[in-house]
Amino acid sequence: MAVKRNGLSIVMKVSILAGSIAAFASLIVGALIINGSSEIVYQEALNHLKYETNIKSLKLVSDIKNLSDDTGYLAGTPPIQGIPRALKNNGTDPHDNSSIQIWRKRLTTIFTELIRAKPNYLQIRYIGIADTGKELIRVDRKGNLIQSSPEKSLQKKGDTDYFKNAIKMSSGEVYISNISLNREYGEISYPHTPVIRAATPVFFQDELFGILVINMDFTNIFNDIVTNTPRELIPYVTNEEGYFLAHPDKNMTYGFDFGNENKINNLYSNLSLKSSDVRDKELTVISNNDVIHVVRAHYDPSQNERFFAVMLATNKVNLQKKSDKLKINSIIIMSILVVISLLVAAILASRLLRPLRLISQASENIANGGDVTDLPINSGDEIGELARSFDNMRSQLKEKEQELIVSQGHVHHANKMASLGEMASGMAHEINSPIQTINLVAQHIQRQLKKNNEPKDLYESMSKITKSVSKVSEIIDGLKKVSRSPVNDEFEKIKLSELVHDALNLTEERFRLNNVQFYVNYINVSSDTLIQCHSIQVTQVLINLINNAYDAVQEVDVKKINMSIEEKDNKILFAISDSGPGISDDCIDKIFEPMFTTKDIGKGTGLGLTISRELVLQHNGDIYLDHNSDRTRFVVEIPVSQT
Amino acid sequence: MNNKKILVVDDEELLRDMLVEVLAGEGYQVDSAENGIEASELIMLNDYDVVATDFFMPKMNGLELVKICQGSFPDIKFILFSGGGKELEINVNENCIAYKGQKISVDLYIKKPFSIDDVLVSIESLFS
Repeated sequence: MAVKRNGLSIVMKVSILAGSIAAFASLIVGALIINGSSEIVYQEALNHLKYETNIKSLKLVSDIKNLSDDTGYLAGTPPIQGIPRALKNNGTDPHDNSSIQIWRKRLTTIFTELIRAKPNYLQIRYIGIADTGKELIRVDRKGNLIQSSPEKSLQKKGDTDYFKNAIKMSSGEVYISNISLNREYGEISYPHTPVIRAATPVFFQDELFGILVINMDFTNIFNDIVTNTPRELIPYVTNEEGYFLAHPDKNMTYGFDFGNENKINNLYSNLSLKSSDVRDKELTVISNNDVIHVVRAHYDPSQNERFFAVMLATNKVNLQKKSDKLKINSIIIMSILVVISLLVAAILASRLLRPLRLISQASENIANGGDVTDLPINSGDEIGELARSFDNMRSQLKEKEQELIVSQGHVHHANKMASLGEMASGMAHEINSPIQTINLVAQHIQRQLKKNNEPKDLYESMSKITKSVSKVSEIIDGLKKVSRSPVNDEFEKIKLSELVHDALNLTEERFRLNNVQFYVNYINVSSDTLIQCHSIQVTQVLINLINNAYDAVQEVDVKKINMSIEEKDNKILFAISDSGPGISDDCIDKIFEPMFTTKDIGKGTGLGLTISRELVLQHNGDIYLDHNSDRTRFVVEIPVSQT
Repeated sequence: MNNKKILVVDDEELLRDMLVEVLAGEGYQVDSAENGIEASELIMLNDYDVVATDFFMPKMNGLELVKICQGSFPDIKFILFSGGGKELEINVNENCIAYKGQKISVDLYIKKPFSIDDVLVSIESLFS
């Protein structure tokens, strides 16, 4: 009976356990990774911020460097020396007789071409020392036009900062001015144009002759800085004082020119651009909500205190966005992994435990009396071992069951025989006495008939009575004989004819009544041959086979049973064959199995052949179905003597 | 003609009478008894040469009868006949009969059913 179980199946338990372990491990590893990687991602974002700032700073420095180089390059062009040479020689260059006009024209061309080539250059001038810094040549960009100024509109620039600073320079040095908005006639020109001037002194015959100046427009450069910045970053460029040069809001720029105090320190009060404790040229300031990275772009190698501060600021949240995104992604992946690991654990557990389930199924089947086929006995692991011992147990159980059936059969058989014997013994007295009387009366009558010479047929009738009566007695005798308790059935020597007679005593009357022809042939042996055996047991075996043969021929027209007896290798072979329909192929292997019968219910116990075999084996003999015979032919081999 | 005296003991009346008639016809002096007790009384009173008794009888069976009489009357020949029965063991060759732990030896054992000739020949042989 199946027991109803409460609680979870072992499959569920194992999958939950394994899944939990896997999930727990994934959670721990995931948490560690998320924690570590979000830090890395944050640092990465910060580094990106620093990198972007540096790139912008480098660009700025490089732009100023180019300006400086161009200035130096122009100072080296031939007209720069040709003009003073011509001037000193009354307007004609002694080297090649070029007039000062030609030199001016040549230089104008060079200036014009350079301005054309460099869209950010606004103005290039050659200014002489003489006449309070009078401009000698000046080329301007006016919108899309490039024009050189006529001599009469040239101005005196000896008071300007850049003039004063440039003439202090030695040969080859370039002065870079501070940035300021361009002014026309003292007023800030519109649109606002931030300008840097690069100036270098020009010497002629070791005397200072003048300066060369290039004005460069930084509008586009600062615009680029602002526009080419990712949205989450806020770009600023300031001068060393902290005034904005570039700012997303243009109104905040050039406070120093407009007379307001829009400075970076208004946003980041603790940011000190000039702080000397910053060893490197860059620093990062992290306030409550913002992170700002500052790179100082030193454009003047000779003066370390002059620089532009290039900055990128961002909200901390922006920096953490990526790491938050990563966190969310990781958690999603982790959750998927946990689910997958649970599933895999469940599947694996179910697969691993399938053999166990099979075994438990098998045991239930066995308990319910069924049979078991697919035990995982070939598995090499512990479950396989379990399955094998289970299988072993099962086959032993089956063996024991068979043994039990056989021994029950024995007991049943013995009981049957004992009660039959008891009944036969009781009947022997009860029947023999009246038979005796009948017999004697009949004989007495016979004697009287003979004495009185009465007709013969009466005498014959009396004979028949006496014969029938002794037949009855003989049957009772036979019954008594074969049903004697086997306890007293010692090995004894008995004639073959006697065994056969005992077996037939109880059967041949039935054959006669049912038209069954029964033949006994002694083939190469005398019926007087003695055989040592338990005569009752051998008789019982023969009776069993004869009865089977009798049952087998019931359905056929020609009812014949043949018993042949021969001697072979010191054994007596009793072969009983019949004219019945034979045994079907699928039954042949089972005929000696206990409880196997093809007879109708109530007719056979299924133990006849099983017990017969047991009895024959006790004689060291054998009983088998002769496969070489066309007919059903059972052979019993009993050794002539038991040694 | 002989004057041997025979006592036939059997509880089956018809059989007893038949035996008496046959034996008397052969010239024996024959008495009969219905059971062992009646038989033992007759044995006390008469000198029998042969006592032929059935085994199973009411009141006293053949074995008890033989056992009682054998010692006191050693000259009497005892013939026992039976059709067999429960717990009755017979050794035909030695004419030994055992029943419920008791054992006797008789002069002749005849198995039922027997023929008249068997009995006549057997009794004849006892006197030869």
